[in-house]
Amino acid sequence: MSETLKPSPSSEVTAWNMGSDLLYNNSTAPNLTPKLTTETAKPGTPPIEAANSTPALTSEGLPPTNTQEQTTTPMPELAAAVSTEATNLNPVITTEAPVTAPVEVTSPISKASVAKTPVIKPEAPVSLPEVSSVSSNDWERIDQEATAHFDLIDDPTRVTKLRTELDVFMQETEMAMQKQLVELGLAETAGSSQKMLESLNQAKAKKIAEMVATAYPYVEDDGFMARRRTNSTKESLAKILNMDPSQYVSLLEDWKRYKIDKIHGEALQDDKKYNIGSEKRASKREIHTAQKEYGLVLDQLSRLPLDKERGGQVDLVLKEYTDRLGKAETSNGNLIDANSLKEVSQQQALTELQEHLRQRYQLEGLKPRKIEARLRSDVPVLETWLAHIKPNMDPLSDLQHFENQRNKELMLTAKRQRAMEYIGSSLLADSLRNALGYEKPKPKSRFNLKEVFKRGVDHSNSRSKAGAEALKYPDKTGNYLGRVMTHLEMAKNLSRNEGVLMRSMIYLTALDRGLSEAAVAAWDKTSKEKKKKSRKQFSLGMAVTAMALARLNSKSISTGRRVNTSPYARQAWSGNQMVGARR
Amino acid sequence: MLVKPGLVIKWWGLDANMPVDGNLLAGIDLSQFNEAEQGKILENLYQRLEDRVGRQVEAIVPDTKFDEFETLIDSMDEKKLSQWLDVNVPDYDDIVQKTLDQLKQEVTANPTSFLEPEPEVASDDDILE
Repeated sequence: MSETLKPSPSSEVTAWNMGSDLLYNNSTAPNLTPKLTTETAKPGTPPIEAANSTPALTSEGLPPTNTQEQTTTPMPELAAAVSTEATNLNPVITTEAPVTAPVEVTSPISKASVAKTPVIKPEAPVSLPEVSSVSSNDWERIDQEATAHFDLIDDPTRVTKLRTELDVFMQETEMAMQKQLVELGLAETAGSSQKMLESLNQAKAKKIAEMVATAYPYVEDDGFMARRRTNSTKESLAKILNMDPSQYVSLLEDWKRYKIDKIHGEALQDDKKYNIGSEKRASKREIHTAQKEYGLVLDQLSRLPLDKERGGQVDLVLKEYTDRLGKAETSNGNLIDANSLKEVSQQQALTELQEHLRQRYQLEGLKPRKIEARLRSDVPVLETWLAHIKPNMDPLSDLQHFENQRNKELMLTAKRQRAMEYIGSSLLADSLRNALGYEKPKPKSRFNLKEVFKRGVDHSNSRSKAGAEALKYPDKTGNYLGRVMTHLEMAKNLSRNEGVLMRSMIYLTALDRGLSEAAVAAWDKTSKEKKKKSRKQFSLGMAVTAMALARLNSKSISTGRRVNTSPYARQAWSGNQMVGARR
Repeated sequence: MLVKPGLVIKWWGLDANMPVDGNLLAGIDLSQFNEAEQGKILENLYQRLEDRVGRQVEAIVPDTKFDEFETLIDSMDEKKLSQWLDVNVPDYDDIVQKTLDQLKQEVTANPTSFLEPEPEVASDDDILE
């Protein structure tokens, strides 16, 4: 018997529109929006590529206080991306100290001193799993299939069930027909197989029509549009039921990609549109090449307040320097050795750049002593840079290109992290595997609202781990407290975005439990009081436990130290048998 | 096996060779479990602690005060949060200590039950279906 299917609602809950909701509902949250400058955006690149600027996020996620002029464009979809658990994994972005890779200096002159320069090592960025091997042509096809099928039919697993049912019916019908022909003695008659094929096709068409009618019945109250949609859905289902198995398998693959893409939200949607993955890889390659070409000091160089404008002081110094280098190379060493000329030339350029930096630091209002210290620490970087410059190079342009690529790479990384912040790619992957891989978990009819908060805030149970650690190791309380504070903020953000974020979380949890969208409807019907009660339990439980454990641990540490030095220390610890664990 | 002061321990892959110098789990014997299982048990113990404390405190704090609490979160200031709790949930240390003691008894009596998350004990009010 065919099941009754529901057409996919037009307002289907997805995670990808949560960004805008965050923007409008998160008014009291700290302004975490990264700012982008628009200088030299290339055509055909994603909008964020126009971000050829110094990133404007401070470690607190606030705009920097420096007065560097920037044309800023807010990026609302990133508004919520920073103040969450994953921020701990993100490189800290500041205008004063951009994220850099550890620097290895090849120049013998400056290697030692550059090595002393403090370098912020970025931690490996967390990124969403990529939808691999999907070309733009594939996406075109998938988009067409979405319009024709995926957006109309909610659940591919049920379609598979119907196809199986149809297969069984067709086998039974064929056997019955063959039996009848044999009984009538017509099995060997010319044209009987053709007739049987026609009859089978008729039977199939009839059965499909029945199945479709049962799966998508008309509803009396439906208006014109609803009936039209039902008709489209019926048509779509009939087509899919009639498909060859191989064609259907391929459609299912596309369906899976489509669902993953849809739920992963803007991050992967942008991947699709702008090939963010390959753009990121390309940026990394460019950064690496540029760094290598200039002795791996470009990152440090970009932190110096150099005037990088065309026709500016640095530009003039470098032009003269490259001119001199060119002349030195063509001098044949008639009077003075070419290398000596280059060294002198480099020294002159260094002095001029230092003078330029001195003026810049003075403008910043630094005290003379600090200026001298800065100038001293800048020397190795400038020396290495100058030493790698060749007469045919355009170092300033290369530096700008490096900065653009680095900023672009950072922004692309941040963009990808955003979806992961609230949903968690592992949860998604599991949910989708269950939903589309026909290996659904045992359906559980009910789930706790608090569980949704738990998943939304901390799908990897990092807080429980940190909490357990704090119970065991009093000295680890600081780390645990920090995590709790972050999670409290995330819980608050989730609650402020009940309309979209929480619905998305409910949807995903429901998928995980095999409840599909019924739970979303249940969430919508849930009273505000009930939601608030659940949120209260969750947030207060977190806060109170954390604060109390911090206090108890601080007492425990002081008591422990006191007892530890007393003659009764052994007795005091005799109760602790935790560590006799089986190895 | 007794733990001597200063004994260096290892626990679910943590590098910190930290001496046992007083902790809140004193008295629990999990020696029959391997390290991973011990970790799981303690994680679930912590989760249950948080859940139970949350249920108790939720009943104490009025909704209006909770709004105040959520506003306070914006400041991300641990001190302010602690002060707020002192005023609005004055005996919260006791609540947590008693709940922890109760859980320690439970884990001592039946440690295996802590290998899994606690079965849902929420009322129908908290359930979506």
